[in-house]
Amino acid sequence: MYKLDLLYYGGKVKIMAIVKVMPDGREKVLIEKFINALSDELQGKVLAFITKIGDNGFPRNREKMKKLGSYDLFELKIYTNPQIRIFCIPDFRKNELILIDGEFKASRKIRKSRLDSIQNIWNDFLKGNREE
Amino acid sequence: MAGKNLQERFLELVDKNKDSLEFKLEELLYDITEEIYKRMENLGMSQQDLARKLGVSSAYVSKILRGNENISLKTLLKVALALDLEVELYLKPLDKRSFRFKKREAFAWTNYKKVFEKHQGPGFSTAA
Repeated sequence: MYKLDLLYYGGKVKIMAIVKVMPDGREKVLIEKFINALSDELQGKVLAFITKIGDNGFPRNREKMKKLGSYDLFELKIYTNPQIRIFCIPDFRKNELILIDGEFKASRKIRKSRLDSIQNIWNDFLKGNREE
Repeated sequence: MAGKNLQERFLELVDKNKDSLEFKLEELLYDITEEIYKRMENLGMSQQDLARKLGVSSAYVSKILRGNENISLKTLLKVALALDLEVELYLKPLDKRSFRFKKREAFAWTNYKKVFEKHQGPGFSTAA
């Protein structure tokens, strides 16, 4: 089961994270796990990027945030070496950004299977919350 | 970390990183690229238009907008002038208070402004 939890609110955009709730009640936050595993250098960049969105609003610059084709997903693009992508779902009406997971961009295109699995997390979250 | 909620854990991590070179550099690059992009939008200028004005390739402009190009002051000034903007820089003492404290202060100010404006009108105007 998935739920949402507040990660950061800087005044403009509420940054939420998808949390996986295990059958034994333990919780796993994919995006937190991803950020925690980064080197200090990359962690600084990613945290600055996320807090900037929370403080200033969604980036207008399309080089920083882009919709992923036919998926519901958007990606935050952080140009580190290697580049980082954070998969997310923005709600422009409610000024909310839901972070799902992140990854290093290894090749030119993100693998379809990876995008499918992220989309499935989102679909499962929607399904679980519709049933409640 | 046990017992702390997600937001508390995140703010702790931000506090640990907020004065690092990478955090500060990303903040600066984010602000600069957003300002450039917003100005381009306002002027109805495409990346190709800006590239033409600067005499560079549009791939180079794209690199600047991504913020992965640590642009020189000279290049920043060239971009600003091409967009009819000026560059204003200032250096200030490092604010060593915690990120959480600064956020709380910013919220207090925003709320104060909201309440004041509700009674006095936008921009703290007291004019009739």
